[in-house]
Amino acid sequence: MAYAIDTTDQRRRRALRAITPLAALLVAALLIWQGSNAAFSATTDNTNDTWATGNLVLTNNGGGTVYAGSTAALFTESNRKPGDTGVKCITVNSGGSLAGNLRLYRGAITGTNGTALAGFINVTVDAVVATPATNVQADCVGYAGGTTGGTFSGTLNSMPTTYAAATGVAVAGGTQRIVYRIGWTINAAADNTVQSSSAIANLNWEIN
Amino acid sequence: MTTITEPIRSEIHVPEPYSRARLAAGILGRAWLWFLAACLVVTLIPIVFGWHSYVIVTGSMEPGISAGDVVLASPDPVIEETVGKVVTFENPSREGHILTHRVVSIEEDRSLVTKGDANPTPDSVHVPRESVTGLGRLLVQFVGLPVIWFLTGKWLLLLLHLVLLVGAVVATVLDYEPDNHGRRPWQRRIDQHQPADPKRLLSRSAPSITPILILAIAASFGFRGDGIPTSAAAFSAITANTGDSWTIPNWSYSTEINNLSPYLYWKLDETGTAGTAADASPNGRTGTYAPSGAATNFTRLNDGGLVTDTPDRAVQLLTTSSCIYTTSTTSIAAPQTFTIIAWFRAPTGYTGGGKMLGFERPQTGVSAPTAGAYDRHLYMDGQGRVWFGVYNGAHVGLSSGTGLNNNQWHMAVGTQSSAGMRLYIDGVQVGTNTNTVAETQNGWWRAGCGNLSGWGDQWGGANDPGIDSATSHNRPFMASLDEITVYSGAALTAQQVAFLYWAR
Repeated sequence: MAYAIDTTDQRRRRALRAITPLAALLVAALLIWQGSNAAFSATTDNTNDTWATGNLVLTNNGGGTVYAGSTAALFTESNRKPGDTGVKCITVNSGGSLAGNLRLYRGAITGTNGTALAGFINVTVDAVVATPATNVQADCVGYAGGTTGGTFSGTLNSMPTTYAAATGVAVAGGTQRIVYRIGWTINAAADNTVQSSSAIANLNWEIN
Repeated sequence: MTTITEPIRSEIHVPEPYSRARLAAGILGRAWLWFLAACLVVTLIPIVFGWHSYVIVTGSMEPGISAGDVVLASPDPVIEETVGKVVTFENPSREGHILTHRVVSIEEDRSLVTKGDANPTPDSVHVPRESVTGLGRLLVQFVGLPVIWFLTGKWLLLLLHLVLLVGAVVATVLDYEPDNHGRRPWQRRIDQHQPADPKRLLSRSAPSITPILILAIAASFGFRGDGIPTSAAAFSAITANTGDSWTIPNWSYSTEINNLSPYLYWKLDETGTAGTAADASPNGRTGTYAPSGAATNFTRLNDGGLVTDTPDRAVQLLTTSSCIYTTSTTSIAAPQTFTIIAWFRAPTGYTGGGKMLGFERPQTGVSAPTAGAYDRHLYMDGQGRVWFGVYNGAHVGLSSGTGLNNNQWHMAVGTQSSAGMRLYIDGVQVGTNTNTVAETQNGWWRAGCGNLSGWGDQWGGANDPGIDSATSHNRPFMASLDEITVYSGAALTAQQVAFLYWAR
């Protein structure tokens, strides 16, 4: 009958093996505690500083050359009358690392008698994904490949107001330029009552 | 001493020096397995208590929450207390997708404004409170990475992960020290003479076997598909082009008429007994109310044809001699390209007809047709239809087709140019032909009366002037007139006419 006689080394090793799980559990607990603390602490806006400095995922050129998160109006169509028509282009820059779906929708319509007038403004939207070096401006020089109204065709009133309702353009990850061509016509049959009216709306692009 | 100890010693196995590398690998393997198991247990156990676990698949909550982390959310949070906290909710923009974002504020309609920490702007669609599935409580980092690798097809990383896992198991198993007889645990079982001590076996095996068991259970749990669903902390970004506007001002009919440079423009806005019809164009070609501006000849109206160009006045012609003649006694050569505009209102059932606007010689009154000349006119026939006529050796006319004697203001526009003749009623073209020639004559423009001899072939009602051109027939328009306008040398386009009427 042999007795198992453990050497000091064996005991030491066994102890090491025994505390290993404890150490691993401790590390896991610490990680979870620290991660939860960092993610769920009730703070707002603590991580936005990097974005505020201009590292925006989505920008547009407002029909010009300077890209910004918010640009001044592409359309400032004053002194218009029924039958008037126009078309302009605007380029959106997507700098997100992930692929997404870019969609155009409008903000709320404001202005005097705005909704009534917007019902007489026919809008067409089409878009093409261009090379990252593209910078098509309001005059649409360099725009090619779109079909008028391919993305939207209808009144300014009926234009989608949410991301979910809008028609999208698939955009790959990395820097991408998407050129939108927006045409408008004030319905020749517009009622006389839309005199002294103005329809004002933001155009929003969102990528998800 | 030696005789006693010798046989015993011979049975004692003197262990070989234990490999440090084997020990290190075994410790690391155990640590790795226990770590994984602990993380998995934490992600799975709360589900039993009704919590939700989500593997984050995108990075909009960086740096706090990264893709591959698992968020544990407690159900039914108090919505009012969620501002600033991270919630999980059904994405209102994408059905069936769970989103993990931070609550920025609560709207008046009690919906939540949410935002990814890494997103520059809040989510465009507000979250109805009933869509909130949980409040973020625990974050287990990295645990979901294999899921991400699987979803994104990063097979190499997935393979590396599996190799590490198997390696850890192998290293753990190999780190079982043989007992004093040089046997490893699995060898003890088959040793008849030295059955394994179950207690000791369990206590020695537990540190290695337990995590492996947990991993196996967790894996089966996960693979069943109802383990840990994914949640996007989706990157979303917004860019805006702000304040796009379309403005239609209050267009002034009078201003637009003048912008097109009329030859004369009698607005007929006079009041009282004024005897002169002002020319609203800069040309000063006034008219004269005949026989006078007295109330017996003209009623000054307050409700003219224009709607937005108010207040708009007009006149009603009361007698057969009421007329508005060009004041200047100097005759002019009639233009071959021209536009004439008259606004008129005839009582319902009015059958008198009459000339509203035309070019004529003599300046006042009517002469025998053989002595005078008259065409380029807008007139109403006995059925209330409006005609635009010129004389090129024959009577060339365009008709409105339907009676307009309905006590409403209407705008009649006649144009002639090299493109032919056009008649527009209320901004809409109702007649066209290819005639480009009118009578060559000298004379004056007049409104409200004049000769229509010979223009009666389709009159069809009372006061027919007949087709006998030898007889002079004054046909006064004993109704209301407004905004008498003549363009000489220009024919307004259909678009211009439509716009003028629209801007009325």
